[in-house]
Amino acid sequence: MIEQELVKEFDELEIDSRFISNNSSEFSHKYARKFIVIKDQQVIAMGDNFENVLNDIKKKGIDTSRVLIEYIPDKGEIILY
Amino acid sequence: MRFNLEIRKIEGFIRIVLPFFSRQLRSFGRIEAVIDTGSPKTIISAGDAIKLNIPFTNLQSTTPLTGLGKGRTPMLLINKFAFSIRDSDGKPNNFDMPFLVADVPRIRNEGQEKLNNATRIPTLIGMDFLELNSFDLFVSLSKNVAYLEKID
Repeated sequence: MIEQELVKEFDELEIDSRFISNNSSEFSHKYARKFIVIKDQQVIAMGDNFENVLNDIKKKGIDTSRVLIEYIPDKGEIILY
Repeated sequence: MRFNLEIRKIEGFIRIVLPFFSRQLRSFGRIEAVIDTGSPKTIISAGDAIKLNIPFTNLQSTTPLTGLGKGRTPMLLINKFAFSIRDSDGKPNNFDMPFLVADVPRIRNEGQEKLNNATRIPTLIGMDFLELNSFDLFVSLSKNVAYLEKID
């Protein structure tokens, strides 16, 4: 991958990453305990099971390596690593 | 050289996030990782491993991870994981280092419930990431600023 393409990838990645941060409050109300898929500042899929969500976006012909997938915890749910 | 980090608050819980790009052959793609100074190792999550089609069969098994209340999670080792992170001037910088990867086939063998739980855990940036790449980590929640800094 040439640097120009990588810069474009980073532009999109960082915009979508900020989109999640900026809308996290709304997401936690709408999508608690769900996986959401973000691309181009939109929630393009969501569901309870990671692999089902991934299959949904594959069926839509979307490249899974170019999306962000975030698990939205429930209110009061603490995830320790 | 500075690499900005995202400060993300979901349901009142704060995470420090590093967006980066995998440059692994046949596993190119976007990843968001959580900075976890409690983890000695950097770990590609089960979810990101599936998303990027990481070829599990070619990788060497390594010591399973023991986490709070989660039992042991089987892991694989990628000796030189190639990735890129972007500095505050907008330039991508390339690195490689050993990454652990959640061993998805073995986790799946332990049951769907175990895999479901594993996919809720994000990719983690551990202390080895800071050590091996000579990064300093700065976080100021009061100023809403977080970044990695590398002095060459």
